[in-house]
Amino acid sequence: MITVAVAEDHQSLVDGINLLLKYEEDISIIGMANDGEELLDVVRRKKPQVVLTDIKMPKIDGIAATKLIKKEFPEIKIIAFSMFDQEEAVRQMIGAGASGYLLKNSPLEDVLKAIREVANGNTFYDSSIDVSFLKEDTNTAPKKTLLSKSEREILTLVGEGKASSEIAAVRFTSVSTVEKHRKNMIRKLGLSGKGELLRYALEKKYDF
Amino acid sequence: MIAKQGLLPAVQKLARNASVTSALNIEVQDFGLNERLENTLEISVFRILQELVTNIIKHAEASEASIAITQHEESLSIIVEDNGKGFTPLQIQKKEGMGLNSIERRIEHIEGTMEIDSTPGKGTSILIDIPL
Repeated sequence: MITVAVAEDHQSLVDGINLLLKYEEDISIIGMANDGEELLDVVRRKKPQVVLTDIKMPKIDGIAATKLIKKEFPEIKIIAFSMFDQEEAVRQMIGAGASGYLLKNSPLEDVLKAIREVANGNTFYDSSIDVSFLKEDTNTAPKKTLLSKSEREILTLVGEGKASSEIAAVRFTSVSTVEKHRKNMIRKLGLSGKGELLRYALEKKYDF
Repeated sequence: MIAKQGLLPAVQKLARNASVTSALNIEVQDFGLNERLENTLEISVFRILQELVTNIIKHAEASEASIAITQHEESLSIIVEDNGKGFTPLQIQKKEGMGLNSIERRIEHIEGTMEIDSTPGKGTSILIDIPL
C-alpha cells in the first residue's frame, strides 16, 4: 500500500484527488493539507511514502516545504503539482528534491501513474514538460539569474497590472524600451506572448 | 580574445576590467548564445559594446550598468543600461559627440538597429537589435 499526503490550497482539487484515489486498492491518502505549514505537520505525524504538493501555497510554498521534508525524511518521495510549466519552476522543484512534476491540467490518471512511479523509486514528469535541460547540467552549475535588474523591475510592474505606457512613465523610459524588455523576458522565460507574461508576473512570487 | 574564446567571455572581461579601472560596476546578463556567432559579427558586437562602455565611463557618471544580450531565433537583442546622469538624445546627435556616430555606423554595417532612450537624471538605455 502506498501512503500519500496531499497539499493543495484549492479544496475542490483535493476532493477530486481524494475521490479518485478512493477506489485504488494500492494507494491510500493518509493526510491532507491546505498550506505548507500544515503539510509539514501532516508529514511529521503520519510519515507518508509520497507527498503530492502544490507549489504556490500559503505560509510555506511547495519548494520550501519540499526542501524541509527531504531534509528530515529523505526517503519520502515528492511530486510537484502545479500550473507552472516554466523550466525555472521545474528546475527549482527538482533542485529541492522532488521526484515528479505534474501539471494541474493533466488527467487525473496521470496522478495515479506518478504516485506509483515515484513510490517505486522512479521519476515522473508530465509529458508536456520539457525536461531535456535536466540532462544538460545535472544541477552542478549554480543557476545564474535569468532576468536582468530592469527586467525584474518591469515584471513586478507588469504584475501590478500596469500597461507598457505606464511602466515607461514610472521608469522614465520610452514605451519601446519597455516593450523590448518584455520581448526579451518572454524569450528567456519560454513564454509565448504578452498574456502569458502577465499571467506569469501575477503568479510569480518565487525567485525564478 | 574573441577569436579564441567567443563573444561572451570577452564581454565579461570587458565588464570586469571596467569595474577594476573605474568606479563602474557592470553586470552582464546573457541568454542563448550557446553557439558561436559568425566571427566578424562577434567582433563587431564586441567593438560596439566596448565603445558603449567607454561612453558610460567617460560621460555618464554612473555607478551601475548592465549589458543584457538575449539571443532570439533570428535576432540578437543587446540592451546596455546605466544609472548615470542621462542626456537628451537629440542634442547629442546634432553635435557628433560621444562616438555615437561610429557606433551607429558599425550597427548599420551589420544591418542592425539602435535606439537611444535617455532622460536627463534618469540614466540611459541603448537598445540594439541585430539580425542573425
